[in-house]
Amino acid sequence: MRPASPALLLAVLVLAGCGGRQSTLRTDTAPAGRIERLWWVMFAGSAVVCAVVFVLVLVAVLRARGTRAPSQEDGRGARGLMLFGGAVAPLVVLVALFVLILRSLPSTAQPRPGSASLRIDVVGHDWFWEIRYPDQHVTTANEIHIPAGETVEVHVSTGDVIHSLWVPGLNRKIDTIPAHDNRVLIDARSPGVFRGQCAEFCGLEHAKMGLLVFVDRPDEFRRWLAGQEKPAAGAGGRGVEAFDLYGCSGCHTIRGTAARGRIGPDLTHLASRTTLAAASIPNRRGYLAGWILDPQHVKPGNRMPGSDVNGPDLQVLLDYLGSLR
Amino acid sequence: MTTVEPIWTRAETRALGWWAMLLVVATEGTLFATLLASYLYLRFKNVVWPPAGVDKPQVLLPCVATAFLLAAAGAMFLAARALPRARVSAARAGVAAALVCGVAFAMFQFLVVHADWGEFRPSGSAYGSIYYTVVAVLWAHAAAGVLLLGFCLGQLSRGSFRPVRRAALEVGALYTYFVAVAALAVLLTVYLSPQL
Amino acid sequence: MSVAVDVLRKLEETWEPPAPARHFFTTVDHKVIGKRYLVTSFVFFVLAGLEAVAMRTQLIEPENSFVGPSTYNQLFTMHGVTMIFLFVTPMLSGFGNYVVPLMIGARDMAFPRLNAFSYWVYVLSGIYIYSSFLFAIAPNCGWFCYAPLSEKLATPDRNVDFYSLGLMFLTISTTVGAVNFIVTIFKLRAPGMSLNRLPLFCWAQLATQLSAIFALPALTVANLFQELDRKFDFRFFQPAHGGDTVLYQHLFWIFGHPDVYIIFLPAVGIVSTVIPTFSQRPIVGYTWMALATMATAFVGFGVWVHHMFATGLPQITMAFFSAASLLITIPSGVQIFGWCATAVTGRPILRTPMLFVLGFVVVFVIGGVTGVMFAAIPFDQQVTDSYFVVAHFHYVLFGGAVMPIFAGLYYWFPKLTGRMYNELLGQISFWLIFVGLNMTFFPMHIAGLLGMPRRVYTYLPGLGWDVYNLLSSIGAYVLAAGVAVVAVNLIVSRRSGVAAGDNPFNANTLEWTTSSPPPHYNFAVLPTVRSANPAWDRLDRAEDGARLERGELVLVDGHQALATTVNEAEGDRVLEMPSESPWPLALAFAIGLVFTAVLVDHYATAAILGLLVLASLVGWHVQKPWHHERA
Repeated sequence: MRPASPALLLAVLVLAGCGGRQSTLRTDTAPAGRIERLWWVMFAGSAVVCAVVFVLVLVAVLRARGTRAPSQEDGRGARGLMLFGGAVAPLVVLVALFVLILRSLPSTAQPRPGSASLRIDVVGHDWFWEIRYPDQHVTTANEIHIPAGETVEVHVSTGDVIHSLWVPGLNRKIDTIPAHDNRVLIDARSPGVFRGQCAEFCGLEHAKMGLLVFVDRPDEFRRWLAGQEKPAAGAGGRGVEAFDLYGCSGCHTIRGTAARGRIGPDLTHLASRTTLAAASIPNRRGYLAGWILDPQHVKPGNRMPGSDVNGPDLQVLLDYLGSLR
Repeated sequence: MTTVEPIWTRAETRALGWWAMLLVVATEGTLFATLLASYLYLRFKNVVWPPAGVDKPQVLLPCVATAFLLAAAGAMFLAARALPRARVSAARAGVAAALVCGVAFAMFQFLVVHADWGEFRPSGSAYGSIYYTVVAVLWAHAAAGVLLLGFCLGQLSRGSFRPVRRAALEVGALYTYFVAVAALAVLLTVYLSPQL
Repeated sequence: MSVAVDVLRKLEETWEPPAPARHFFTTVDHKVIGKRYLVTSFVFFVLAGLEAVAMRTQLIEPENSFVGPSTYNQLFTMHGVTMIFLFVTPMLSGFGNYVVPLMIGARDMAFPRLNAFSYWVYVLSGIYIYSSFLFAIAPNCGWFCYAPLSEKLATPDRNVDFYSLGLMFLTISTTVGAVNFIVTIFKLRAPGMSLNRLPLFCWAQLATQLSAIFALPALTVANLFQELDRKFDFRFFQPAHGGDTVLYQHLFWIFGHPDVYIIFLPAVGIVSTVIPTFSQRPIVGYTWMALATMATAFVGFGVWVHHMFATGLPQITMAFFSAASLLITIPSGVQIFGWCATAVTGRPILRTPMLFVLGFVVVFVIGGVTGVMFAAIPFDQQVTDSYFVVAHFHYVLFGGAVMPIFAGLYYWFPKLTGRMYNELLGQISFWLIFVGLNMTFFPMHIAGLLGMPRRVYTYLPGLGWDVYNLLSSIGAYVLAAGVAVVAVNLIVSRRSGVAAGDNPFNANTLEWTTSSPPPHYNFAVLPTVRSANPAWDRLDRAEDGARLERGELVLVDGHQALATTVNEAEGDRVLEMPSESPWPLALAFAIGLVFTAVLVDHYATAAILGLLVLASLVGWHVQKPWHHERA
């Protein structure tokens, strides 16, 4: 009648490995690392507690087969087990755990505004992430780049309902609450790519509201940022016309053109991004075509309507968008 | 067949209904506490309270209205003391007085709200929303109390003094005390605290 | 003619229900109402289970298209709402309803008509909420339905209205039921059953119902504010006009956390009842167990903010609630070790109810340790709203409440029906459920640690989540099979089970001293109690038999029950109980009509229907409570 023994539990978890790019166990910052260590300490303690209780249950099962008569009194042993095992020992452990918690609290605290070397504003929308670098006048969507080895304060807010910015490899999650200025600190140590996702149910396409965080070498980051600051280089002409003709400019902004829509993500440097539709599909020509023609197929219920772009115009549009690096 | 009747009789036993009403008072009291806590939460979330364009709430009429409910509570207290001494008509008078006071409260409170309705609406601000909600919930509880007192009066008017009649009176009294306290809490929180 | 025969005949006549057709609508017998609660809530359990199976089928592989996001969001919301509000709490109320009066040696609940009323409101509110499926607008905002997602702007359709109004309707049932239970437990105990002899099952019900009294108003206020915002443009949760969305979270969780103890504590009561019986000894540390139950309920009101650690609250606030959340494990720890001590120092009998209870201990401890982890604020801030928390709460809810429910169903089945369940099928059902539940929910811990958020209708491949979701989905099918076996076992055994007798398990509480099933009047002689294990006090029970012969403590002059004092349970007075009444159903129905009118914005109609409510109330009070009608 024995359930998974603690050893087996441990083995399973270890085998699970540190996981993919969205894992809480593959961390690159001090806070996330701290949380990960806290997890392993608590896991070890929990395994011990479970083992003790499982052993007691096992003893009870064995007594079922025995022949000893049941005692009718509350013996000292029984009372002792109850009070020591149930109250005294846990109290000691919990006090120690609370001390650990208090000591780890400052590392996940919200940063004071202005205390980091870079500031990013993330605005949650149904169902994408608007990313702004206010000091550099850069706006993009669903993809954040940060320099390794520098502190970044992320101010989160929302354009509609409560979302939650969660990039497990880099820090705890922080809810985006209307009219609340919530912040989270990211200080990634080395280059890498991390994936995050909205972690507060926000409606139909909550499941497909992801984002990527690229931790770049500082020089790469500066180059990227400088590129993002520039207005769209576009091939101009027919691409811009098509963008306007099919109504895209009503919802999307492409800086450097007349397209100034504020409903959907900023597309000024669309081609520089790795993914589309909030990290749901790769940013490749075929996927982009499918997305433009029938976004409801990829993300049913999202706010972008389908379009009836004809063949040649679609190619023009794709060429143009593909040039927006 | 003869059966042996149990012979415990105690002079003062509370009706089961009284215990039930005590629990109802506990839960409805918690309801008011929650509403008033929400009021204070919103109050401290907003720097300007009441918001710009809304005057501070009036004080005189709400005090008068609350006083009527306190008087109702007093009348019910006297009635509840009179009945065990078999002074039924005194009890009836007490309940009737309490009922009239309850109606008076409802009228005065209605006047207050009517005046406010001309000034600001619930859809104008969170202040308006919580103000009208708290006041409406109090009014509803007072109205229910008036109906309950009407029922008590009916029970007392039905002739011979029986334990169940006293139960109704005790239950009605308890409820009246509760509504009076709730009204006092509302007065202090909603009408008086913004004056500070 | 012996006095005993006369007494029994008179009791039979007095308590005999009228014709079944009318009796169905007018009964106030707690045993009938209790059984109705059990059956109805089991139906909701199956519905919620099917919703879960559909969800797990959708999640069995990445980017599946079994159901789309709109359907999925309704499924997970209704799964939560059904399980919590329409299954687990009513099921445990059903046990309470059936068992508490019998366990305290009473003839019925303190307010039989109120009891019937709370059942009718429950079933009507369940229908009210589920009718939303007919219009494909079932609640879809999650079982806690946060603002501003719940506001009209984000959810223009009536999904949220079904939720808020449905819950306000249901809350009437729960509140009224709480009043009934508390007064019953305080005032209707058999002579001699002082509070320190009150069965732990009743202590648990007492703690639960007192919690409900103080917790439910916060939910009502949350629902009320939500509806006022939606229907009349109030601004509680709209910051542009001075409101705050976090207010909703506070209100909801001030209810929501005590609610989990409202769910857990009655289950604890079942465990404290089954373990002594199947260990053949009294519970270890009775006083500590009762205190632990009350302490859990009390401290449960002081931890709600731990559901909000990711919202950006001040650190000092969070630290306080973290400490409280750690402390609340102590009473539960005392209980776990008390149960283990009882089993270990007794002589366990490993029959189906005991298997479920031992399984409960194993599963609940796992859920409990992950709960402690959630008190660690930074860790919570990583894994809240991920599958790790889904794993945690399913371990504490399924382990902590549903396993004891299955134990209780098997345990009291003989008392309710007079027949034994099938032991082999019982053991099979236990193993299917135990394996299925671990297989479904354990992998979710890992998926959560690997970053999978909750409430997602699908997920991308390549993030390391695939195998864990596959395991969970297969586990769900195993679990469903186990539940099916339970249902089959109970349904078939009801017809063809072996006759059970009064006390097939040699249990220690009073319900086992009367027949299986009990007569309409529960006890011919109201038992006199002198210890905490009255069914094991052979001399006292023989004395009851002697009293029957003398016609003592039989209360035959009408529908009578006995009220006793709160503390020592000394005789207080004889109560005249109501018999049949149509008014509970009439009132429940009238209130339902009012809620329906409000749902569709017909307020004038609602006001007029309010008169119908008043009329029902008048009818209720005008009916003479001691009027006994013969068929």
